[in-house]
Amino acid sequence: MKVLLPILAALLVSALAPLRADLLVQPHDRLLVGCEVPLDQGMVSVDIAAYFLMCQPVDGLTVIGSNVGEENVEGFMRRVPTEIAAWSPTVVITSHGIDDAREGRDGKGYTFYHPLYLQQQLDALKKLGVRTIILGSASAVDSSVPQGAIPAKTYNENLAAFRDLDRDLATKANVPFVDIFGATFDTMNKAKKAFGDSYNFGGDRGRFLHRNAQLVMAWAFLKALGADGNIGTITVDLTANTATGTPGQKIVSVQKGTVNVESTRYPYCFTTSPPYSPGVDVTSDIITQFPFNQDLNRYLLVVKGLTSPRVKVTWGAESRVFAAGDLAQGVNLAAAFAGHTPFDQVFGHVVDALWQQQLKQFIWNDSVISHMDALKQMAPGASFDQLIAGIHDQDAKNGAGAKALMMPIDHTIKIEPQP
Amino acid sequence: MKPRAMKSVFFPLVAALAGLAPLRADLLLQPNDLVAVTGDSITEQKRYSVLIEDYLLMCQPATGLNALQLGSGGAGAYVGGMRAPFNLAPFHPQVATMLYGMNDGQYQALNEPMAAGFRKGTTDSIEAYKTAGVRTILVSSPTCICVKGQTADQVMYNHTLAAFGDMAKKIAADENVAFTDTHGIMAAVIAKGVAADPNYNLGPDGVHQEWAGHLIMAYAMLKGLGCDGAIGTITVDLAAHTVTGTPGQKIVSQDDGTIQVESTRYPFCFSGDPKDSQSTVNVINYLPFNQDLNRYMLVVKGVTGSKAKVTWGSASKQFTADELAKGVNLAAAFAGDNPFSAAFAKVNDAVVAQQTDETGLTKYWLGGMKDLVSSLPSQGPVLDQITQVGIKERNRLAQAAATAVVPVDHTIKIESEP
Repeated sequence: MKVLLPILAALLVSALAPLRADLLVQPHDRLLVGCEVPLDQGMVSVDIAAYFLMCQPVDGLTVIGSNVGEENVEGFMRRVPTEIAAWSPTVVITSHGIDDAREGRDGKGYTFYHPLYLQQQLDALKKLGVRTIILGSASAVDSSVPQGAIPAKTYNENLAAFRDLDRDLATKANVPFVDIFGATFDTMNKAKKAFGDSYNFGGDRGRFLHRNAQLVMAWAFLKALGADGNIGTITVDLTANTATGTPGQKIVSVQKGTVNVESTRYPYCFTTSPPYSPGVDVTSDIITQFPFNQDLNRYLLVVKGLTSPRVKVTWGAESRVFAAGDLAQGVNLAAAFAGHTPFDQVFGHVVDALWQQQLKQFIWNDSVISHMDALKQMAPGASFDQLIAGIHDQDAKNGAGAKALMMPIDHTIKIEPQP
Repeated sequence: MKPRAMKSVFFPLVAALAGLAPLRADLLLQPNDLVAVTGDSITEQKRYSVLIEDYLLMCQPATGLNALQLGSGGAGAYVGGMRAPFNLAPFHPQVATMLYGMNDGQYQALNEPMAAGFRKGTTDSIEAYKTAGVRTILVSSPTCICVKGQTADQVMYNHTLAAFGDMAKKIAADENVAFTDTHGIMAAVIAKGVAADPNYNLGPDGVHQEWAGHLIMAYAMLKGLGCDGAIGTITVDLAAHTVTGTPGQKIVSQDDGTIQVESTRYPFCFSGDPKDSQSTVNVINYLPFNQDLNRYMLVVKGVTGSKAKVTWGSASKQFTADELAKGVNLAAAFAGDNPFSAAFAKVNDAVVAQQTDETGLTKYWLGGMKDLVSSLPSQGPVLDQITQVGIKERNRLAQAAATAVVPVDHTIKIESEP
């Protein structure tokens, strides 16, 4: 009973207080992300896990990465009754179609297989008891990377047509639709305009989205899931020498414009170099080209009682100068200090642990779960039920281990009027 | 008591003697050896590995042989060694064959980083197999790509694969292990095939070939293991009314040129459409399989006419007296349909069942064991239990394949003709 009490209490609290009615993930949900991105670079599911752990925490949420590169709708659909079912998801996010779209609108993929298998996929997920299905279209391919015999421009036109197909199907099936193609295509075009045509978005082969592009996918999915982006606000009144913080931002002290804060809710942090997940790009550049921070990552500093037109704000080791009017209205520290915040290091450790958790999910999928029928035939009567229970137990431990790394962050904001 | 039944009674003695006295100095196989057939998706096709095991079980270059299929799609040369502690070592094979290279070249022209990767992967795998206690290692050159209408890229890639073959040969010499040139043998067969028919090919895929291509691979491996092809000889003296058979060919009766034989050692049997270049019965037109590995000889002395008709099972062939006196190879002359074909096919089915099971066990389960052990630290006993059940089941299927080799009763009728 001693062990059960905290669990019961947590369940009671969770049951009584869902985060928000419009948030499609609820406490203790099992959110499975199945996107057409390489397993070993499947950061879209890690980004979503990181967000719902550190930025907008959902109590007891488990995120399962089930991404497979070059997997078409049929491939995922066929995994639903076995591999997907083994994870007992309550929410499923999918994005497939790059492979299907190769033949364009004249091929059987468009006229027959893609819509057929997508409908079968939705039916199979519903039959599985999945409460919320978010149907994403396929992403865009990199417009600068040749796609063999198909010009990238044509490939993207095909993908746009498949996107429309998916949207119609989602409407008919009454499931939320996310335009991953539009999100990635628009952001890619802006990024290439800003950074040059060689700015890589789709990896070496153009259709394996890089780490930067997968953040765009995560952004679109997080918005569809109802994430509101209200991470926290710290309001400082220099005249009254007071400061207040929203939940998760505890004001430890305030003295002459220097505010010490203890944060248990983090802004989303970006990478200027990849400390985790090998071979992927950074994210601090791409966020200048799509409204991730505006939509999902508002960590605001509001300063009242300013007497000078310009103000230097030092946060951790970095400083920025803002107009007093901006600060009075509130500046988004997560955006202004992107890649250089006091949260970055711990955030990176947690992301790394989440990535490791999902890597192990991949190992279990690849070695055990996806071959269960063959394995049961290989070792008749062996303890596979016990093994699956052990996998779930270890996954929960891995998730708890990642969460345990998320310690309260002590940080200091120093506000200094400038001449 | 039939030799088959004696095997179980005298097994320990045979095994002990075998350890002391190898059958032949040039045969790399010893009685009761387990041959691990390792490689990439070509091996995982379970074709040449099945043909090898068919040969070991039925043609019996040594007694009690068995094979284990360890193919893994997408594997480069390094994968064999990387996984050996987990998917090879638990079976304690005495022999291992290696057929890699197709993935190491990434379907590109040869370059030094790629070559270095292949060399290191091959060397590391040999060392890992040695560490796992493998006595005899046979390294093969990669196969060829052979499709109808070979593209320039495919021709280019065959050069890359040939270069890998040269590297594999040198590594084998440096590591003091055996080498077989599957690439060269296959290239020679293709050249003969194309000379006979410009559309000759070994399958639509080119990489993952049909049965004919796999018979070439099996041939190269079995030759590399030192198999000499002396399956059996039945010697008939029509004048003296005597018949003798080599071990495994028991003469049950003989009456005026009609000989009843009970065989526990089979000739290798071929199948498919003789006109189909992807069948085993077709490829033997270009591959000296019967000459080198499948000599099931009938020697007849005392033929009174200039020739004789030989009826074996339901088919008949005519030979000259001189040919019969020197010996004719029944396996070649009656290829495609002979009294062993049905029994051979049954054993083949059992071998396919065994090796299909092995893919689940060795690729999916044991192939991922390293990661499973590290990712599931509290599940060690469960993992061990499943592995033990899996190995037991694999051994049961292997035993079923071995016991499917039953004595075959057949009749050879020799009728002298003017």
